[in-house]
Amino acid sequence: MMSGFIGLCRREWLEHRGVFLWAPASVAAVIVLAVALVLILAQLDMARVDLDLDLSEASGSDVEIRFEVEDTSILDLVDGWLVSHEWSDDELSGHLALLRRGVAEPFHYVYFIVLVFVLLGALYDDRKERTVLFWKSLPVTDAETVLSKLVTAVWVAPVATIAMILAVQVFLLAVISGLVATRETLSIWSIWTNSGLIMGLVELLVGYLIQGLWALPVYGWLLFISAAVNHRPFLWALFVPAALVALEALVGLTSTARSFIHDHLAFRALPRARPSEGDALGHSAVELGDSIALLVTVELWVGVIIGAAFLAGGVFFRRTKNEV
Amino acid sequence: MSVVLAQGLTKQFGDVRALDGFDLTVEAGQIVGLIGPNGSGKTTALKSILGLSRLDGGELEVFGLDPFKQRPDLMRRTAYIADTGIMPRWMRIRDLLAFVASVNPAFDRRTAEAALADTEIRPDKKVGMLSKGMTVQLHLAIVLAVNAELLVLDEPTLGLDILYRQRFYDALLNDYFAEQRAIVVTTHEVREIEHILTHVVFIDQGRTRLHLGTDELAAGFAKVVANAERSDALRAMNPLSERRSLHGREFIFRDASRQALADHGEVSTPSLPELFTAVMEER
Repeated sequence: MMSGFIGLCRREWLEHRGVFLWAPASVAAVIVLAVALVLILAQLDMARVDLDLDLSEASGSDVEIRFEVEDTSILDLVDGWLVSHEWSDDELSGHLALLRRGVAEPFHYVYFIVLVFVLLGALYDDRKERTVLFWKSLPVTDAETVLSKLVTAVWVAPVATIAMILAVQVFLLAVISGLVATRETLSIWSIWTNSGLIMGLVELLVGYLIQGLWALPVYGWLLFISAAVNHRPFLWALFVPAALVALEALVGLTSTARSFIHDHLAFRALPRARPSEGDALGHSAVELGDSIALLVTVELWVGVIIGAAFLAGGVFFRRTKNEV
Repeated sequence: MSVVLAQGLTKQFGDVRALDGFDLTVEAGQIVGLIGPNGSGKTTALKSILGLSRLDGGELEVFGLDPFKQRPDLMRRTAYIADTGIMPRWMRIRDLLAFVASVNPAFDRRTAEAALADTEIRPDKKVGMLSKGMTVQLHLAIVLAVNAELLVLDEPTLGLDILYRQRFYDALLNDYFAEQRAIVVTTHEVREIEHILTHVVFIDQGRTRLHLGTDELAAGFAKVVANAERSDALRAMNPLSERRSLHGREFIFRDASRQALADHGEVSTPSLPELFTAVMEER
């Protein structure tokens, strides 16, 4: 029974591992190449910038804070900032956490896009390719099939993304270590001890675990459409909620659907440098505590119930629809 | 207990009555050929037996189970091929075998691997790299490695060359078939499976037209070839069908005395294709 379910998940992973591995690997490659390019240009003394930042408003104080440089090497700029003062451990770990979470964000978006397409194809592609009757010749329930597709895409595949995020984080810390190697104000030791890499890993693992629950109405909906429609699952998946929101706006009484969809599309549980607009968390980073706090909200469990209902609908259609 | 017990099955697709009172019984130790023209309801009948589609009416039990509601239980004892040429193209053959083994306890991976060793199919290849014929071979190798009590084959040899087709049916009869097993097979090439069947079922317009043991063929049916002068006398004996042939006129009779027929021409036992044509023309 359990070995059968693991077999199903393994099958899912084999089918989609290409995209689940290559998508985050591409993001990682872009970041690494961009950083490497800047470093090389800086070495060649070609990366020079003019900056004029007015931070007065952002700081929220009356004091004028202005940051102005002309024709300065990026390397000098970063270098200057790093050695500008004695860093306390708190300060250092705060900044590094921001960097750590910030660099994870593009990975979240790319993973989400991949996930949407994988889930929409999960119960549709095999009907289109007519392999569904082969899969159905095996002693597996349709509920197991649907669940294995959900579990693999939502809770197994992120491991690849998390590994890539971790690799890029280590790479960036190594670059920073290189920059501070000769400085007395900062030691390589203090960079790594304050990096929060392990904490960051826990944040990511727990974050993806809980995000899967938080976004279950979205994921359940995608699987439902994948099992139910005979053509163009992507358009259906988009059109129905859009029509619902439009209808709601037209009647003008409520915005329940709109805010529900908006809320559950947000990466509420994933570690980020700053939460998205409309987030109830204020202007701090999304941290481990925020992810875990979601677990005790009514919203999350209402969403889980709605998501489960969509999944049940998906199982229902999976039983009878064998063709497109 | 019968393996398959179907009575008065009905299934409607829009205006089309795909099944319209279809009956079938299959017992262990039988190889049943389900034979009918295109669109006669063969595939719909098989899909209901396999729990792949819901029926509108009638009574259906396979191993005493409701196929639609208890499909996973049914699939523990059943193997089938619905679309021989179609397998997941992205999958490596080795992974495919490992997957089937992981979800189906009745699948014997070594048997499948041994069968594949006789072919050009290498385990590290992807299914998409196989030719159509090789894909069918792979599919058959997998399904014959399932220790099933009921094997259902829908046009299993479509796209195979004649040599491999004969080898497949020989293997099916000699290596796979056993007392406790039942096989249901559909094909449009009746000739090809004639010699392995224990029973035939003719289906037309969703209804069973004839259900017969192949050993009852000689007792139940007779073919007479006669010249034109004798034809009127034979027509008066209420034949199932009449057709012109090179040797004169061919009549096929059901439940007629062979002695009485022998007065008018040469009597023999009709072949399955001849009988099929006769039964279909009767309607």
